[in-house]
Amino acid sequence: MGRPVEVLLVEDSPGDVRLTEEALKEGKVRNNLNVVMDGVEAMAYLRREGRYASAARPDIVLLDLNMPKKDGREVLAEMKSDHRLRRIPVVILTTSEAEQDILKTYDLHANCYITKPVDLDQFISLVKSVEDFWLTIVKLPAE
Amino acid sequence: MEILLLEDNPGDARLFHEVLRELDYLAPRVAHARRLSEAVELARRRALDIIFLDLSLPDGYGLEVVRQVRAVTTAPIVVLTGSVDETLAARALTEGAQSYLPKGFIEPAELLAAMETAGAALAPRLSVGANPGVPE
Repeated sequence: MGRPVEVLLVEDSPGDVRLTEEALKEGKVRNNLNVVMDGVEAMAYLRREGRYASAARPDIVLLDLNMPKKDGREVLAEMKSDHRLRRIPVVILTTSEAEQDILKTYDLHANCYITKPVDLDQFISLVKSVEDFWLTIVKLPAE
Repeated sequence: MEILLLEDNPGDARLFHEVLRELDYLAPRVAHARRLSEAVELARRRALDIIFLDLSLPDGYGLEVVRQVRAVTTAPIVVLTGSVDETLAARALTEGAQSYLPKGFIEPAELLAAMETAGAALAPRLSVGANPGVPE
């Protein structure tokens, strides 16, 4: 892929946003990390509404589950029922270990489910692993 | 000063520690819990000067977090809120929290103000028999 990979991070935790930025900055693949902090903003971004009218279509979405306004489960359901968005791979990145969240998100066609480690170094290493797998090994859909 | 931090997001916990480092003169000692059950246990066992609570946890969410911690301690509680859930934070004040602080705060003054509002005793806790020493 000649252009940078467009990553959309949907995350309401400012500290975890910063950690993810740091990890991706150190990564192998040129990427543009775009961040929105709740589900309503995420859908506006994905549908290029309002101030996101000229936003790039994400190649991959990193999605937290527990967020205000509209949570990650609702975002996932809306994405996967929208023919323009459903091919975008969605990586669930959450602190939830609840079996019901794992089942529910796979039912909604999440592409993978990852529980955030509590340790800082492990978190950074995990984001790098996600980058390595999804941005270098996986063939992403063009549109 | 004995502090309990309940925060499951590693990045937010790091931000908290970074800002707290600026308040060294309070001699803060932080017990860090990542789960509500762990925080309840710590709050039950320890004498705490102040408690900081995230409300979105693997084993608890929202006002239930405040209620469960408040049930076992009288220490002041500061709720750590996401960027846009201030309504929830305001409701937390009716459930036993004394103050709230938006996550992503970067100034030690903001942390200090939240602690003052919560009514925390902002002086280093001296152990019995300790010599406070001569001020430099």
